[in-house]
Amino acid sequence: MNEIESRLAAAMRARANDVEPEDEHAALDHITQRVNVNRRRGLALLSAAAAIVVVVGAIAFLNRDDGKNPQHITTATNPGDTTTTTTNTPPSVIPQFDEQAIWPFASSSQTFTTPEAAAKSFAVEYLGMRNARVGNACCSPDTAFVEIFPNDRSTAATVVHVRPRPHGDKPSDWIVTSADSDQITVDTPKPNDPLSSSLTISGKSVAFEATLGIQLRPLDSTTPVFQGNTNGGSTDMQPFSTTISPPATDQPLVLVVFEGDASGAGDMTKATVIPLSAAGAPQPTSFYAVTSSGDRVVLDFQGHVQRTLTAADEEFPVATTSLPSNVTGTLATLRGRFGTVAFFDGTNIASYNPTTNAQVKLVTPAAAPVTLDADESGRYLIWVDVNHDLWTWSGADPLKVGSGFNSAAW
Amino acid sequence: MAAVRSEVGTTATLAELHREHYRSLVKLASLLVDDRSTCEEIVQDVFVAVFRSATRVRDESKLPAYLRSAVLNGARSHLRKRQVRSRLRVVDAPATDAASAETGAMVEEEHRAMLTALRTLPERQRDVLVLRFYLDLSESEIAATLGISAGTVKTHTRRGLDALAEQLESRR
Repeated sequence: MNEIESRLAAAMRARANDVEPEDEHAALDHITQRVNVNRRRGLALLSAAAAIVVVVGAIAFLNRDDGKNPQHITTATNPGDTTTTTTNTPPSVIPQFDEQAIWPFASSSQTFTTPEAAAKSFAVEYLGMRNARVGNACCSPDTAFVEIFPNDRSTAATVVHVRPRPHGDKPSDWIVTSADSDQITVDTPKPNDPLSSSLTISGKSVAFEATLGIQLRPLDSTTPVFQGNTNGGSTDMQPFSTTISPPATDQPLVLVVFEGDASGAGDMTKATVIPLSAAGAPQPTSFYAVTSSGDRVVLDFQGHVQRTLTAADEEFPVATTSLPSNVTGTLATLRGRFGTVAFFDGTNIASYNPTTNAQVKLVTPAAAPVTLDADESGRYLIWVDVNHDLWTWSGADPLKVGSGFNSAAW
Repeated sequence: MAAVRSEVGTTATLAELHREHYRSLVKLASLLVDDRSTCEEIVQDVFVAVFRSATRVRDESKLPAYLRSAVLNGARSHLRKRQVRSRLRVVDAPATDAASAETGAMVEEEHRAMLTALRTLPERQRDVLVLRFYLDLSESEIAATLGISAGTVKTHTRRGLDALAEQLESRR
């Protein structure tokens, strides 16, 4: 060892001798806690995914309005008389979505026989992690989570969610449905939220120089239709939030929130990937109603009177229709986009599908409605009940938005 | 207790690994990062990462090298982030911890100057010198730890030592 080597070794030994861990037992506890949290999170992810698969499957199954999932509900035929009718279970107005493959593209003939292969291909070809490395995989027959690291050195994992292709004709054909990184957690939007003209993306992140990239991509493309960025934390998880205006489209898009490689080569080092549903029908902005005193007014969906109609205003038609003889009910109205009919069966507001003859309970009103109308999308209902209360409904609990009305229509 | 599984089926528990390596790894990190608590955080991150992706460590005999390499990477990452923050004029709190401040008076100026110079070297040169002259690793062990060739280790060692000598000379 020459002089400079000896001096260097001595300086390093002196420094190392000076430094002692503060509390090794506490450190071990801390590490154990973090390891266990990560494992619990993995299990929670698995459970959540399993639950999502079950719920999504159930919703998709029940939403078909095709009568293949019969449930018996009681439907009034005459006052004081009830009969049992075979119907579907509620409610069909939840926008349907099939969990679509983000990868491989629908237009591609690529298939993957293992979750790991699907995840790695996704990382390399979709996220641009050219040196992607597969870490742990956690599988069940219905879903899998595969850790992907951007290279051999990085410990920043992107967990890719993979599942067998639904209705696939191959015994093992895995598709990627989403991905998330521990270091980029997105609170909004949620997976499969419908796109809207204004999209707020928020969560917490830690990334190089605090910078997060944001892309919106069509389902079958890696070319973004929107690009932007926002800032979270650089050394620890910090909140981020940005509101963007996605391009107008009636197609689903994929949100990619990512950290770019510090080299600037355009590679991603970690990413959270969230599918978004196509823009749903916008909430109706206004509707018409006749008050108990005979005034015709325009209200917003929350029941605020916007203006009073004048004689010059057109009459507002209610899109009434009739029910077939085997369906008993009143106030039948067309649910435009769904091509079904909403009606009051004596207890519930229900939906009838003329194609399949299936009936679905939508909502139980507080009191019997005297007028009922559905908007053009079919997702929204409005009614006035026998107490002259005005109600709106869009899939959750009905909302009383006014009193003193005789009728209402879109 | 979490365990790292090797290909041959033996296991090393987190507690065992911690007992065996934690202290030495903190000391290793301290050669590159001046704040002790940050050194501990770096080492804890490494342990968590190892036990999150346990199957990647296929040979327990390589675990010490893996841990050392991960600590060097963690220290490097920390220093990069600090450089970025420095560029953005985000001023860190004084980096020297109380313990080292107290004992600082006993550390010769020579040692301070040497460590300061070491920390200004390019990352690879710095890593190679620490592994060679603190851990006494051979060139082949350093090569395995850093994933570079033995020839590159030799080159970095020579260049690093030359740079250190030059810096120390210029301070006189």
